[in-house]
Amino acid sequence: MQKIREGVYEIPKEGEMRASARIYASEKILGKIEAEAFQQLKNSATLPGIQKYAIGMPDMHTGYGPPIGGVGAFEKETGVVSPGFIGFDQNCGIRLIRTNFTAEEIKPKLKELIDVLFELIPAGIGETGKIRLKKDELGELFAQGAAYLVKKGYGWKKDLEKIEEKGQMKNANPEKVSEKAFQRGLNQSGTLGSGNHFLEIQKVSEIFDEKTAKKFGLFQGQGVIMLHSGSRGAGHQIATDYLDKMLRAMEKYKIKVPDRQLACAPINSSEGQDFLQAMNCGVNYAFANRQAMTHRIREGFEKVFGQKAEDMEMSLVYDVCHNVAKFEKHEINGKQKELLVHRKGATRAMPSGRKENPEAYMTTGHPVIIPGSMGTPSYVLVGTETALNETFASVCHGAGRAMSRHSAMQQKRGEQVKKDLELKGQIVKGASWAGLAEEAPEAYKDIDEVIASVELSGIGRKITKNLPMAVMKG
Amino acid sequence: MKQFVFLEHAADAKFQAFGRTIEECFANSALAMNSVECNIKKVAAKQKLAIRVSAENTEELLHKFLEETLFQMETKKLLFSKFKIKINEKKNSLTAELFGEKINKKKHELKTLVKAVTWNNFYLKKEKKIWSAQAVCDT
Repeated sequence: MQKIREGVYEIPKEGEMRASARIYASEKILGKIEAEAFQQLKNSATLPGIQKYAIGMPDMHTGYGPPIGGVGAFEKETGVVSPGFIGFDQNCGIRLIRTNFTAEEIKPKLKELIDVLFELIPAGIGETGKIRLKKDELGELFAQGAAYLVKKGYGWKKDLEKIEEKGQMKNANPEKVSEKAFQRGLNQSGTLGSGNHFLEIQKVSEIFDEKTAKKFGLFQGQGVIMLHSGSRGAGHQIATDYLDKMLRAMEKYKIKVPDRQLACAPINSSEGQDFLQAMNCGVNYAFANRQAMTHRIREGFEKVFGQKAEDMEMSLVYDVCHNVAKFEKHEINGKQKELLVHRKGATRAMPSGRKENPEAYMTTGHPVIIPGSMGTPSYVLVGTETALNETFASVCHGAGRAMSRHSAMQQKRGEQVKKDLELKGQIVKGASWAGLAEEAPEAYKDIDEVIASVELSGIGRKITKNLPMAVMKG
Repeated sequence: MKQFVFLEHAADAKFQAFGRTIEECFANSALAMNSVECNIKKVAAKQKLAIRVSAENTEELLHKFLEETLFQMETKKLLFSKFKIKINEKKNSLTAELFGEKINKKKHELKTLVKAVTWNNFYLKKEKKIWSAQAVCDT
């Protein structure tokens, strides 16, 4: 591995690799990344049409197919699309909601608030949402995303302005979604899920750039709500179905991959096009899912504080995806090219001026929301020109696991994890004890170190740091 | 012989399952997958569900069997603790009866939802009369 500059390392092209691999991490973080994750990044670099480098973020760790924290961009005409390079949880992402309360004003009602939200938002295995859809309605939701639910009265029209893609990927075709994916999606809209998904009440504890924070509607000491969830069973099934199709199609297109989970098809093939139309339905499902939960969060605050959500100024700061593939224009060898950028556990970070930004954030770049692990800080960043030039405008998506779920469970009991966090003054409410044990803060890399790596390599800039006050886990 | 063991994996659930017959290996693989979600010892074999699966080879048959089991778990809100499987190796097809009960938060010591069965490091093989399988489940 060669050092390119502080915080940037390169694995030169070798064997079947079509591009070199780059990792954006401090030396300290680099030492914590497993050998298998590097191998997975090298495997990703073998995919046809990959541009510049296969990129690993500082939160990189072993996944399936590419590593989690991986980015790869593919030339539209000659490149491929790979469902495994997006992940089963299509459009897993983060939403940040503001309030006009200070954290101190929320604190006396925090316990009640988490209890109310736990009632309103189903979490964990086997839970169904309160929004019941008929099949044709789910088809509309697949096509329209968050906009469909806003039309039905779940949330505010202006919410859509603060969601990546305005909460609706175009070119989403429900006819490309299987009956099984419909079945899995019917009753899950508005559910949190399990694993690392969470809802957290946070305090904005530090402001690094006053002017930008103000643009984002954030102030020192403020109470905000962070939500992490994805496309639930619908997205998982869409990915499963198309992975199967691509495994079969590869022979036809003479594509060989070192890991079957990297199965792919040319972007311009019928399999590739069908997948993109189906994936966009999964992405839209996730936008709608976070929209449904936003509605419930507002209801919960209204119940506990006896005020209207509008009066508590509970608007969205932003909603970003971290598992997705989308077409974007980037400069390759001095020319603007349309690429299909795959982000698997990586967050889009478009700097100011790029057309992908909502109008309100055109001069700052959109908020890049990076959650820490349970009980640790989260950050709001913005992307930089360096990110645009080097990482296809992408940064990390979280702290990144450092310990397996299995080991975490053997080392920690859920009851102890809850107790430890309560000693720090945080409230924890989980759907299962085992779930809490698996998500123990010790199972993750240090988020401060990960964010320091982002800054060291110059791909992102800190705007705020948020501390957890109360968390609800699936 | 152990039914299954879990291996180290940073983010997801990686297991190996074993069997003296191919059917036993399939059943133990499905048990391992269920044990990612709950304590399978707490799941009574009260309800029965029949499924059919076919594929192009036996390895793919196992993958599809796990996918189908997961689909049934999620859409019917069931957890399974017992499997009766008949495999036709020549036709790469199977019929199976899955036994379990409705998910009960208070009873089943729920853990983490399995999102999907990946193809990463997936295998089914027979060595010295013992069948073994390996899978990584996305959680």
